[in-house]
Amino acid sequence: MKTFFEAKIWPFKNQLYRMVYLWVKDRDVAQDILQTVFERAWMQGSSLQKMDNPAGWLMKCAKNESLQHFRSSKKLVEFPEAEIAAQTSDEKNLSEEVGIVFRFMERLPEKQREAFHLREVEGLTYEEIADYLEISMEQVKVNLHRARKTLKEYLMARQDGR
Amino acid sequence: MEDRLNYLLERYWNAESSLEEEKELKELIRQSEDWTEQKILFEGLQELKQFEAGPIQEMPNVASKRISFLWLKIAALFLIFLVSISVSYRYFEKRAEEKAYEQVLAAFELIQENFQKAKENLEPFEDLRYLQSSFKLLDPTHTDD
Repeated sequence: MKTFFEAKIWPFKNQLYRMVYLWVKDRDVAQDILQTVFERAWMQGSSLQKMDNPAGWLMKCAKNESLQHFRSSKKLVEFPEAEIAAQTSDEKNLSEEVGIVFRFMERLPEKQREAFHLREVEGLTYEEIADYLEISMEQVKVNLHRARKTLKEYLMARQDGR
Repeated sequence: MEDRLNYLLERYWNAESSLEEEKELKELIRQSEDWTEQKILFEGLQELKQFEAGPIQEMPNVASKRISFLWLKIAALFLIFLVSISVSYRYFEKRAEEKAYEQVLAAFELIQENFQKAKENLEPFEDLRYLQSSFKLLDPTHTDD
């Protein structure tokens, strides 16, 4: 029989990693942040079991750790509203396709970026995204709609530029 | 196929598509010879989905940190216990000394009291001094020089 941690927390590992990687754009840093988040989750113990939404807690914790990373390394002027991140060595090694995804996502405000990522990369339903981000389903839909509108314009601009 | 693709794409831009429709849309775009930019972006998203975290340090190491912290708490409590025992012992020792001192004082008082009584009892015999002097007066051989 699986423990609570194995059943409810561990499955979020890769999802969280990809979300953190989206923010920090460095695999080693993302890995460190993920480790910290899981340690914090473990230390929470029974409190996490009593929460209605442990996924939301994990997300918040990961975001706070990423924010802390940016503050300590001073790579961003602002976060969460900032769009520009310093280029890391990881970005130079990314494929063209993933690079295009990141460059597009950098244009989006934080909430739209998160909703877009959770839908397009993680394949979550609106309800699951709402739980993760601790917002209403209607807000998820609005954010996703705006993100895809920006995507449409972005792709059209690229097409015209080619 | 093109009609279906355009229909799904319109629903996609409006955030009205279901997950199944989006999956179908992406497959149709992948198979299409056009829609180059969309194709690149969806491929990028698919590639990003393959990113996985490295191994996470086993949680029992974190548990051992909790256990170490627990031992630290136990050690601190034990230290507090020892200090309080030591303080209590010194307090009681001091009290015992004070009590012994009081008892010695009480003993001296008793001695003094009894000495005073004895002195009072001997007062009548003080007059015997004078008795010896009277004998001297009556002694014909006694002279005061």
